[in-house]
Amino acid sequence: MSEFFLELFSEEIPANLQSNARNELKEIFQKFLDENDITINSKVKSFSTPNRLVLYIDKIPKEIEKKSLEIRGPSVNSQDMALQGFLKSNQINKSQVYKKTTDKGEFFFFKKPSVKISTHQLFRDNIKKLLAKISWKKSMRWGEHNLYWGRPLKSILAVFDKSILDFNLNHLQSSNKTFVDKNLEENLKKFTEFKNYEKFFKLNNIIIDQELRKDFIIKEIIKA
Amino acid sequence: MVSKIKKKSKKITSFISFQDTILNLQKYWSKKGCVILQPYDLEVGAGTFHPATTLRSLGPKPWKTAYVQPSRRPTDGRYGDNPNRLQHYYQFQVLIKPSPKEIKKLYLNSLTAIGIDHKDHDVRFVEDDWESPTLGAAGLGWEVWCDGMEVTQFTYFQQMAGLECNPISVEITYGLERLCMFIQNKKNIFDLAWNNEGILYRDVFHQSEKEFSAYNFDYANTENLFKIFDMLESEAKSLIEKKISLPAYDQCLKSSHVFNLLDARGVISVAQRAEYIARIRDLTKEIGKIWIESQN
Repeated sequence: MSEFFLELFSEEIPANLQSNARNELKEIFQKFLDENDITINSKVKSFSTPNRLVLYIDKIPKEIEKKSLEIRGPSVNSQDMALQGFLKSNQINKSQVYKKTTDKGEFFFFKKPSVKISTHQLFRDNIKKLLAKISWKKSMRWGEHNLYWGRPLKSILAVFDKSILDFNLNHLQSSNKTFVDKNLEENLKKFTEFKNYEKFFKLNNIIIDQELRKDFIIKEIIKA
Repeated sequence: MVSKIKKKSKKITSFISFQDTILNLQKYWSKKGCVILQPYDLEVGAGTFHPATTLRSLGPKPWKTAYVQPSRRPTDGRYGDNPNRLQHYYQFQVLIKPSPKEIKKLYLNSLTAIGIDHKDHDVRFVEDDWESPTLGAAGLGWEVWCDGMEVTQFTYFQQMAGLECNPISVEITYGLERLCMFIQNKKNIFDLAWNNEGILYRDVFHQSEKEFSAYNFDYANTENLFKIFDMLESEAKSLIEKKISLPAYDQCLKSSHVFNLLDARGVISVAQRAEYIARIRDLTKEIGKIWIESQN
């Protein structure tokens, strides 16, 4: 089983944008898992502080089996060009297609065999698209960059199974490091597991989980 | 375990006068490569109106500047009776295009240069998106709180003069009086130490606040001001046709101040107000276009 965790470090994101992004991030990744038949024995979790937007998914199978799929091609009565296009788009040759009659007439078909896909690969191939789905109510550009984000995004920590999930989002390259000092954006620290990340920040007076943070604040207010 | 929230005391490294605060900020930003400009010699409502910000934030050329800008907001006058409100005050303005990656660090270190070490204070970046209807401008950013007091506006310009900014500039505006009230621990602006020789803010500006409040609220000749506004607008339009942006922008700034005076005199209705703002914004937009053309 694999673990994936992501930290999007930015300048201070206002509270309402933060909670929207946090919820959307969770929903987007849950939908991605569902669409790809990736069953995890846990829940997708997302957390935020003003500077850190965090996603954590545990117990991800290392690979998934994409079931065999019958793909319908052009009608047998259509021009040869249509069939050639179908072969090309599926990267197959003519011997792999067969004819089959349906309610709507006779068509060419191709049976895509079942394949095993590594989830690591699947995450890497899709993560940019998934992050682009966050619909900021207000977003901005900064410097000379074309990326739109709630506030300037400064670093991306992305770890899949203790290794970097390698991708770039506009000008930013993912890594396994983040800034410890949120104000000066200094002191880079490497993380390979979420539990160590969470523990480290807790020891440094930063509660990543917004619900735990809320409880802590309420407790301190009552005490005061 | 998470430790208890530390009670932070107001720790200021040393007493810094109003004029030394300005000098320290100028020295700091000068060392960071900013062109230190002098205030623009026209009445403006904020440092943003200085052409070194408004116009220079448009177009592709990099730009770094810092300057003090006396700012006039006639409606904010209180005849020198209010400890917190003035019709004439000072802003220290920094504009950097494109916004540098390490801008937060640069800003926090600038506070250290005026005696506020961010490690000793509760410094917060609180959402405060900005819009200027007269400039046709908008930006996203924060107001920065230091131990609960707003000391700075921090904005990434997205639009200026109705045009998209590219690259993006960052604007940092320190409210100097408020910042110094924090540094010097004073409750009344007029009690601020202007220098280290016993001169107070009151000695420099109290009479001015009284007299200008009287002018702004009671004596400004509104009949003339309406005529002056029309004349300035007409002059700006003529200069726009001749495609000279900076003199046209001067007319626009002057008309903006005349509008502010009319507003303070209470002779502008709600509908008229929107109309006058739109007239100024239309001028600014045309000027912005000419400026950009001149930059390419």
